[in-house]
Amino acid sequence: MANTKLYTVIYVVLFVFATAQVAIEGMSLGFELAVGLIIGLSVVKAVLVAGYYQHLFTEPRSVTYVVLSGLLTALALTFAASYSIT
Amino acid sequence: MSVLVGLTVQTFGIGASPAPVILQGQSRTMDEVFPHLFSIFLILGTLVGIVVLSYMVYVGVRYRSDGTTDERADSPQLGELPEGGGDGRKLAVSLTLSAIIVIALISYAWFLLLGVEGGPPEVSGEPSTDEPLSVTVVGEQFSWKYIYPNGNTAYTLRVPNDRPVALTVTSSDVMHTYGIPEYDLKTDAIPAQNTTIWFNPNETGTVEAHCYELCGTGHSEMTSEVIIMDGAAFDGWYAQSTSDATPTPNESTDKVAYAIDRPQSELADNYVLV
Amino acid sequence: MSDDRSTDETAVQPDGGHASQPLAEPTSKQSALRRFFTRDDLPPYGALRRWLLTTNHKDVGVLYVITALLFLVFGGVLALLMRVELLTPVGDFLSADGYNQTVSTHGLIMVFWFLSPFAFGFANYIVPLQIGAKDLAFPRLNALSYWLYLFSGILIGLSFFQGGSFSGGWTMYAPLSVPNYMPQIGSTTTILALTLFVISVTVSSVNFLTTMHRMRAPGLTLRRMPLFTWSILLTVWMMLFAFAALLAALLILSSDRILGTTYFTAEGTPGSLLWTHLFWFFGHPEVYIVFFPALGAMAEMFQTFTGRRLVGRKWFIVSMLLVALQSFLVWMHHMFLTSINLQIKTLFMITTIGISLPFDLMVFSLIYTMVKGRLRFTTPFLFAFGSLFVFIIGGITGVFLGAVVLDYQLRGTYWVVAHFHYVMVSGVMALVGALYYWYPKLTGRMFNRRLGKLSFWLFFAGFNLLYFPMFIAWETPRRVFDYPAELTGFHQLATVGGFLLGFAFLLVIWNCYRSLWDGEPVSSNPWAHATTAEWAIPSPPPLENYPGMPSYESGSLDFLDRDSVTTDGGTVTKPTPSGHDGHDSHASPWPLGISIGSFVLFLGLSGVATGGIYVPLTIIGGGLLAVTLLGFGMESFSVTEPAVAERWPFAGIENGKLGVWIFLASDIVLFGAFVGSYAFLRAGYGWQAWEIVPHNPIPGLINTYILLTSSFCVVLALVAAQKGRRWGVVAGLTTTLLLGIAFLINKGIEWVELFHHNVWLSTDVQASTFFLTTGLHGLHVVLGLVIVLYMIPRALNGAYLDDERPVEYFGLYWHFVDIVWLFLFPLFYIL
Repeated sequence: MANTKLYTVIYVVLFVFATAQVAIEGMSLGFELAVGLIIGLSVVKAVLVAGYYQHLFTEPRSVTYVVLSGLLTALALTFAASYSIT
Repeated sequence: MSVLVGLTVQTFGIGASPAPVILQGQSRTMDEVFPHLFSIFLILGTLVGIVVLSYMVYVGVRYRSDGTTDERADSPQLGELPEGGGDGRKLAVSLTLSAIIVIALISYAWFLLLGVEGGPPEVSGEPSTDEPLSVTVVGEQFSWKYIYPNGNTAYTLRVPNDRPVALTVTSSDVMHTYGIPEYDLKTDAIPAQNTTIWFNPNETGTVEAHCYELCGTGHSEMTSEVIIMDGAAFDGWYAQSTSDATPTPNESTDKVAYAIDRPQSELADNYVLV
Repeated sequence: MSDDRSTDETAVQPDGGHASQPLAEPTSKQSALRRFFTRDDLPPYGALRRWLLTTNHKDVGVLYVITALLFLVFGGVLALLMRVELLTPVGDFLSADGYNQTVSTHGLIMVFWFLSPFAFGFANYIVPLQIGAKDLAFPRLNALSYWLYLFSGILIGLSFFQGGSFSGGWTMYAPLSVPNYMPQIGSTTTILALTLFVISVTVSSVNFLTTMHRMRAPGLTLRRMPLFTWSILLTVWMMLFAFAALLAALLILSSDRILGTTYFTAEGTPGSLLWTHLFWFFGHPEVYIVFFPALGAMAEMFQTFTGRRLVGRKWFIVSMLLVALQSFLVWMHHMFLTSINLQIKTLFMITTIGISLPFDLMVFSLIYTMVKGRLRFTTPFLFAFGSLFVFIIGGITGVFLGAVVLDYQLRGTYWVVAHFHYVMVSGVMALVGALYYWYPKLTGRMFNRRLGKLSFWLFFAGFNLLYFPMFIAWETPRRVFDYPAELTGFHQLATVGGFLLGFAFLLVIWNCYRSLWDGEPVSSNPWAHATTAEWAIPSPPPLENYPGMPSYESGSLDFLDRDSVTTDGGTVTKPTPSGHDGHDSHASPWPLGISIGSFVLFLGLSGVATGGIYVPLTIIGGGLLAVTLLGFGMESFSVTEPAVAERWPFAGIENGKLGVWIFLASDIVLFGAFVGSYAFLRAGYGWQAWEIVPHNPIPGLINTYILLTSSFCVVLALVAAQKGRRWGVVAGLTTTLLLGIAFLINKGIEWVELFHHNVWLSTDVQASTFFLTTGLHGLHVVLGLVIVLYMIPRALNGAYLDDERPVEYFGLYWHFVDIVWLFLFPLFYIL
């Protein structure tokens, strides 16, 4: 089944990305660049898992919005609180 | 009502300190800003409240059913899909009106806030007398500790009446809120954080500082004296002051310590205050 | 039998004695215990067993209302204790600590255990009726919510007997709330009780959201929902996210108290501010969570008793929607006096004012609805009218607090106390109106009208006498018993008002109680001009609510014959899963059992650090919880989804899956708040100065590999289930189990290694955040493994071959746990 093949490819990609994250840390890039790359890779991995393993890409879009609203809520708290520090 | 009248007098500067002029980024103390703004809000709030509530009660009485002809052609029917009634325009107008009032008030309040947040004014010349006195206030269960620039600590705040006083407030244990109601001052005392407030002490005398955040069993009694001294007397006291050994939030012991420490002349000068 | 049954019950007279059909009672040969748990049919109302086992939304609603009223009495007595203390300006009645406990528990009880549950009693009862559903989507979970609520309340009551209850105010500011300053076990119990309550709320939120989005009668689009239902829908959405943030705060606080982490006390980090952020991020939406149901009920009563449709109904709904969204962006207005910066203060001042304007619109809308109406000042309408009246005062005085400069001085004083009581108790007034409004529907009898009106006037007078003097005496600092002597008179007036208000409440309760017997029987629609569906069916309604399938497709409510439903393109058609018109279950012993287990477990946890009796309690509670959860899982409990319904915007997925997703959304907020706490503390500490706890990232990386692989296995198990390969399913799940265990072992080794290097949970804030956040994740892994362990034997029996949905739902959860790790790994191991 094509699905199994797709799932396997995604699995391999996830595996490689996880390794890459640790590798990036070892490469002594600038701190900010490293943070950007590492978090960026995490986001890509999360989207892959949510989109394919949790089937969000094929579910009604409204389900994705529910998830995103939870995410947005958490981000609002995190960023506004951290920004408020004097 | 009498409260309102009193506030009106105060607001429009009759016999009170002149009302602050807005829109000039000048520093202002909370005791200039708060009574002014509070009375404006109170007067407008009362007016709006009276108008809206009277209208509501009027409508309630005016359209009271006489119990006879309830059913009308356009009465809602059981099981109908909900719909709205008309009168959207009236709603929009009312909303706009209230929005204008609220936004105008809040914008005005915001400009005043800038004055308060700006800190004490930079005064040109004579820095020796006009430079603000900076005192650190540390809340600790259940007393207020004051740390002066010379490192001395005390449990009663003594300040001169001839220069601004800037307080940096923090806490050594739990969250407190430091407030001197007489000067409309209040700020949180937070562990590992500093907040600042400032004021211009004027009349000599003794006022009280309170805790405004529940901080434990002693919260209700967590007060401290704030003594506003004549400038010269303050300088004399400050030059000779030493640290209080222990927290003495208790008024009487503090008075005794004060009396013993002070030279006779100064004591006479300030006796009325204590 | 469902059809026969409902027609039977429809015929039951609304005689107040309730439907007491001769139901198939178990034979006397069965043991008493067995008989108790037998639940083939719902026992009659008169039997205690019915109330312990019922999962029916109407029964649960009634239970909520009654329990909430009991907590009202509890919280009210605490309030009166305070008012007696405040008769004099010095402390002479309660001890200082006693006063603090009274203040704190009064707030907690009223906000959490009275107000919301009272409203949700009506929501339980009325919302399914208004949308045309037979019950909630997950009836057993609904019963579970109720029992968790009740037992969490019992737990907070017990806290008084454990060396004193919580004494840090309902806002629970840290670090006063940590054991250094508040060592009593009872304070831990209070926090755990609240945690249990939050779990109840979360379960409830998932349930209501699924129900309201997917089980509306055909033709009842979201826009057409009655206003009470609208208010509940928005309330529940807010609850889902806001309570998740509170849960994070409570878990962290519990950990600081029980495990010794140092989130709120560590040197060099703004721990105290962290609490205020977490708490108020929940706390402000909570204001609307508490008030919205009251607003919705007010709108219903205004329409019914003015005989007019709500003016600007659409804008009323838009206003509520705006408020619900924006409620998450105003929390820092509770923190104007803290060290937050000026830009943030300005921003939050603007959002705060922004959120007040929709309320203006709603108030005007209610007022204009009365114009040209035929107002019938019945008891419910008096309460609704009075509620709007005092709400306007509460609203105006709230604008004062939105102006930052005024807030500077008003904060921490009785101005705030008076303001929020004017708002909150205005909500209570509306809900008491709602109690009178729906009382005939709930009981089939009318309350005593004269007593009702008397109770209103006493209520209204008591209310204003209690709270208005507080505005005048606003200079009194909050939560003190020692206030300026010149304000004594005002406080004495308030005390008199407090007793009057308390008496009015008792009168309301008495009236409702007596009228169960004395009230005159009522028809299905005792209030003329009520339009919503609950008034179209008998009072009280039969077990399955409707004589047929309710539908609005013709433009107004019809009851169609269930068997001959035809649909047009607008709605989704699905045959009922079992092929016949389902026999729905209405009773289960497990919700009660799970709640008792949780109760014992939490009671044990409260003192587990001190040893003694608490250790066996923890173990017994844990065991009981495990057994009852297993019982819950194994029970066959049938619920049919309506064949045809309005399901926007979730038409494409079934109830169960939507429920899982909604739960996961709240779990995102929970983890988000943990990660947010970490980011906040780290930002306050200095991002780069912060040292990562693990010595090297390799164990973390290995665990990443393990979790990714396990996710892949779950996916394969699902594919196998879809293809009907039993051994594929078993293999996939078993591998997942083994990998999960490997993950935990690897983590265990890592932790032991850290402990060996003397890095403990309490070492420093870096270690605290590391252990607690990854520990919460580990707990999610453990929970997942428990589910897998339950599924494997069933898979062996071929359970998931016909219906692979459980595997899919488990996968959703497991992948989520995986995704969380994808972020925890870089945050705690690399950066």
